[in-house]
Amino acid sequence: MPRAEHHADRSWGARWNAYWFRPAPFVDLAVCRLLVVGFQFFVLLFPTLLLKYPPYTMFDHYAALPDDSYHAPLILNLLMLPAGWGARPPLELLQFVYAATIMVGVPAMLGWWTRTACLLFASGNLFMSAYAYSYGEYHHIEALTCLFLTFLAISPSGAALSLDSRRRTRKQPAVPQATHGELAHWPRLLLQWLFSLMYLSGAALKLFGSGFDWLNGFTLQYYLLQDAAFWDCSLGISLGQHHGLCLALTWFTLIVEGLFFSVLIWPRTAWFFVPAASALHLGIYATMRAPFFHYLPLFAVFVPWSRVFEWLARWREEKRRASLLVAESGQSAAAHQ
Amino acid sequence: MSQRMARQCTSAGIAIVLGLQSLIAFKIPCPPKAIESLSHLRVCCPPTLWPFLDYNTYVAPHYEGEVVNRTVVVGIPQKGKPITLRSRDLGISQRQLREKFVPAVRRGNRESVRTMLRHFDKQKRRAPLNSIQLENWPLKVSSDKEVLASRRMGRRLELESAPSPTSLETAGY
Repeated sequence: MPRAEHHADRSWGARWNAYWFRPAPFVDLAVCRLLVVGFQFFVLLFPTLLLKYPPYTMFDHYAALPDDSYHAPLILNLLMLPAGWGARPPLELLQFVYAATIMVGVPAMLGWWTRTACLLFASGNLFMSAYAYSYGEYHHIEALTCLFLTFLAISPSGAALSLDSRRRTRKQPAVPQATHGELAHWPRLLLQWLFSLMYLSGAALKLFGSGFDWLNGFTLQYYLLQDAAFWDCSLGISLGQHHGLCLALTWFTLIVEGLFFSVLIWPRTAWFFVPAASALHLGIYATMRAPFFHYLPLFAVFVPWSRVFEWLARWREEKRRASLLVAESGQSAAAHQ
Repeated sequence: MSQRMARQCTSAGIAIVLGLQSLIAFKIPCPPKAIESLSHLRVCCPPTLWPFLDYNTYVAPHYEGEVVNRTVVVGIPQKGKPITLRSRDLGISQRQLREKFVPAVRRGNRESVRTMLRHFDKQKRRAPLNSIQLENWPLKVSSDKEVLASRRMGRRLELESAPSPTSLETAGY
């Protein structure tokens, strides 16, 4: 390779492009769209089933609060800009956005006018959650989902497993459809980065706030008993009576949170960290009733779906061949008799 | 839009998202209030830039011997032993029990309490309640097996009699 070209390939720009825009299968992104949009659609339809404080069921309560308690996040002010900077959305608008977001959830999930539907679905969710968090209290649950919905809207998430891709195939049956694209990789990778930053923030702020006292086991035991007592969770109260277990869970939590970023450096470590983080969130729900279910479909970004489908197809083919062989050997045995 | 242009726009977006999340995640524009010398840097605290948040949850340390208060609602029937009333007995959520039922008992709001007890009253084989008693069954953070601390009586609300609710001992929880 000529020296100049070699030098150009090693430039920061080239490295950046090679990292974020490496051609990736559209299917991987499409499965994430189906799972994340599908899950959020379900949450909008049945908000109280999975959430303790569903923003979508409390609009009347928020709307009745006085104006001076309203402090909108920047994103809500931007979305409300047509009505003027800092305008407070009326109840009717919130109810309309709720209904409209549910409606666009269907095409976003099925991949019909995917970009437009995903953009409207993401905007509706951003709008409603940002509004609910404009009165002092806020929660972490929907933040990553809202960001990922936005990524889906500006990426080719409808290039596979969608009505759009079927329509294209039907229109031009002779033209082979692309299976990979260089804009199909970054949304999944960026969410992996956001997960890593989120967990690292959790671990770093715990150690910054408490030093190594956070590792004494009593800290986690206190929070476990506190939340279990508040939510009347008998499993949390009984587990909170075992200090040794709380100490082990403390280390487990800090290892998962503090080292989760390893998945960016050594992707194979996702085999440990993703199930471990899922177990952590399910355990937190079982004992402390904090419903971080939104993260479970988001963890789909760590799964190489196209390879999973290939493996499944191969496995099915092998099974079919094996059954054919059995049938053939049965026939030949019968013929001999 | 050309592929090159799409890559450039996306790159700018990625850089902005990562930059904002990194700053907020480590509280750069919102250092803790405890560090007074950095108070001038508190320019943008969550949820101003929501959905970009820090994950500053459950950070304060706790030590052996600390006590967690646990408010328990006890129903005292006309006949029989007192019974612990849980949210499902009342047909309400745990959140409603904490945020509506318990404060109503504390305030002595008999009408509101009676309304919320309708579901309980409808159930067969349940003796009608005479009064509602709030109790604190504290839990002690400990390396011993025993984490239950001694119970304390709180507000008691008579449901039937006209006189104002009596307080056996106001425990302040």
